[in-house]
This record gives sequence, structure tokens and C-alpha cells, in this order.
Amino acid sequence: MTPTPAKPGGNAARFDAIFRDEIDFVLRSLLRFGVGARDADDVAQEVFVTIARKLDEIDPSRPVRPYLWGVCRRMARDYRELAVHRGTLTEAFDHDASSDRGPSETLEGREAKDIVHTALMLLPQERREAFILYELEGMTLQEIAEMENTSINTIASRVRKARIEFADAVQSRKRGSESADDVALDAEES
Amino acid sequence: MSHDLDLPPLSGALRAMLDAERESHAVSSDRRSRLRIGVARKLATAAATATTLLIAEEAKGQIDAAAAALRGHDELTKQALEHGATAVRHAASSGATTAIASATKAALVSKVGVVVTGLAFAGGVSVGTQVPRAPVAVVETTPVAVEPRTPTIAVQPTPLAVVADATVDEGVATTALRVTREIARVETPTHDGTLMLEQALIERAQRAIASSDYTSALTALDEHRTRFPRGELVEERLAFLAIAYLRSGQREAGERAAHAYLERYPNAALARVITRELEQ
Repeated sequence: MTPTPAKPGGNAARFDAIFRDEIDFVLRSLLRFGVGARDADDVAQEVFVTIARKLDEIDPSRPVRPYLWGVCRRMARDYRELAVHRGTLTEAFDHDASSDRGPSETLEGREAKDIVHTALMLLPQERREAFILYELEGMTLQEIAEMENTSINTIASRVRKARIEFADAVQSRKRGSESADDVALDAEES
Repeated sequence: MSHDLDLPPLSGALRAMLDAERESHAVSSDRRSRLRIGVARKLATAAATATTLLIAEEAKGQIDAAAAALRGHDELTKQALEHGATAVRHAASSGATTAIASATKAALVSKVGVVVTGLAFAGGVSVGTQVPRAPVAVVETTPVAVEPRTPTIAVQPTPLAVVADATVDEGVATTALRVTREIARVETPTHDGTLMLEQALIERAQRAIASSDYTSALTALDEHRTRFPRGELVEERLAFLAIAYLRSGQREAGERAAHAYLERYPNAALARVITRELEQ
């Protein structure tokens, strides 16, 4: 994770660089925080509006992702609270219908993704966040510890437990999926 | 990725699933462009909602001018600007012979008063909560200086220079305007600077409205309509059209534009502004 360098051209160029480099990160973070796929674009825009307003407060010598992660977490929480209030929250980690999935995505690939999403969702929040940042975003334990303002051992412990829980969740989901297939086959044969 | 803290290994299959998940969030250039435009529009709307933004910016200009005028006076005034009244009081009570001249203070208070008025006028939208933070902080108090008849300025701990910024910095107004303006200047590759040009016209209209130059505002908006009839900032154009008509006394055209806007964007952030304009 490298800091987004301050570039000539002032805030506009800097904002543009952040947008260009981090829009993918913001979108997938929001989805992983439970923002519905249909609302992800809108919430992502709000994230960048916040970034634009706070640009002067963001240290250009530091990586911007921790800041973005914090904004995404807060906005996703607000989003979820509002959605619950409105009764419109259907399913956390719902399918990213708006993602630019190519026609090559197979049913197996889609199923695998669903399994991963469900397994992630089952993790307690702190462990889920540590796991996502470490396993999916490629941050180091040290970077996550700094970002979460805690010790590296705490983060390592969260990732360790999350790995075990994630593996268990994937296995049980797979077993559930296989037995459902068995039921379907039995139904067809009978 | 470090594994030196005894993390249990993930199986190859799990690793592959995570890799696939990571790869599945690619964002197309079309979607990027849409999002980029969306951000620009939200910033523009936020700035406009505080139209007010224009007044706030104008107020900031006035306060800056007042500050610039004061800067030339004397060292103590400079301290007041840079460090706030705490520094002023400290200097006075520690025997500094220079006190802020009444005339200077009067000028300052008068300038600040303009800001209060301006913001109070504009405050109906969203800056109302910011008003107490700044100008109200300047009050005259019992003298504590060496010269007993010379009142000192007792400002709350916020430095005056910061106070000037606080009137707009905390609100959406100037920050949003400035960033919007800067961001709008950056061309998005798929739009060849179109958004930038749109933004410039809308901004020109905003500025004209702020200085009560409604003819120029309507000209800019008409140019926007001609060049970008279905542009990205149509909503903003319609809103400012209604405002320009109504404020310039062209009531009938203003009402028509306002109702057209409200019908089309009943839940937009600017709808409240338009409704208020209609009621005046």
C-alpha cells in the first residue's frame, strides 16, 4: 500500500488520482461492509464527496486507504441503519449485480463467490475486517494494526481466528450446497 | 504478506476462492465515468444548496478584506489576527502600550456585522448553525488594558483568522464550491471536458446571482441550455433559472421555472431552496 503522492495541480489533481486509484477499493469495501449492490454506486459517490470536502485534512504523505476504509465503514453503518429503519435491508453481501462481470463467469465461479461472501458475513465484525484487509486487500498486519490503532498481536489473533472460522464456514456451506444438490438429483430421479 | 505470527495456513482451494473474490470487483470505465460525474454533481448540488455559498463566499471576502486592512495597523492587531483575542488580552495586561484603536475595532465589528447579516440572511438554508461560531464571538467587554478607557476585543478562544474561515469551512459552502470548481476543471476522459464546461457556465450563473446580476445569470443559463440541453447539470440549471427569475422580479417566469423544477425534482436537495424562494 503506497501513499497517493501529492501531484502538481493541487486538490483537483490529487482528488482525481485518489478517485482513479481507489474507486475499486471503495466499491468492494462498501459491498463487504454490507451495502446493497444496488446502492453501492450511490454510497461510493458519497464517500468521494466526503473525501473532496476533507481533502485538506488528509495527509498526502500517508496512505489514503486507511482513511477511505474508515469513511466506508461509517457510511456503510449509516446506510445499514437507515435501510433497517426503512425496512429495505434485504441481504447483507447481496450479489454485486452492478459489477462488471464478464460473460465468462461460470455458475461455479458465481457459487464460489456466494460461498465466500456468506462465509465472510458470518465472521464477527472485527475479525472480518482484519481478515478482509489482510487476505483480500493485501495489507500487512503492521499496517492494519496502525490503522485500527491496536497492536500487531491483536490483529494477528483476529486473522488467525478468522481463518479458522472462515474455513469452517466455507466447508459447512459447501456441504449444505452438496446435500441440496443430492436432494435435487433424488427429486429428478424419482 | 507476512506469516511470521503463526497464522494457520489457508488451503489452496480457499486461497483460490479468495483470489477469485478479489478479482470479481473490477469496475468498467463506463461505470467509473458515471461515478465520477455523480460525484461532481453531488458536490455541485451541495455547494448550491448553501447558495448561501455565494453569500458566504462574499462574506468571507469581506472578512478577508477587513483582516487585510487590519494587518497594516500595528503589531498587536497582527497578533489578534494570528493568535486571537487571548493573545490580545495577554499583551494588554502584560503592559503592552499599544491598544487596538477604537476606530479599527469599530471597522472590524462593522465588517463582522456584515457577515452576520449576510449569513443570517442566507442562514435559512443550512448555514444557520454556523453563525454563532464566528462573528458573534466578537464582543466588547470591560477594559483590562493599561488604558482604562480603551476597550479591548474579547474574542472567544478561536483565533480571528480562523473564525473567518470557520464561517464557511464547516459548512458545505465554500469548501465544496472550491473543491467542486477545482475538480470540475479536471476533464474526464470519456467526456472530453464537457462536464468542465457545463460546470463553468453553472458556476458563472451562481456567481452572477450572488452579486445580484440576474441578467448575466440568465445569459449563462441560456448558454448552458443551448450548448448542453440534456447535460449533466440540467437540474442545477433549472434551479438557478428559477432563482434568477424570482429574484429579478420576473415573477411569472420564475414561478413557471420553479414549479417545473419542483415537479421534476421534488426530493432534490435544492427543492427546499426553490420552495423558499417561491414563498418570498
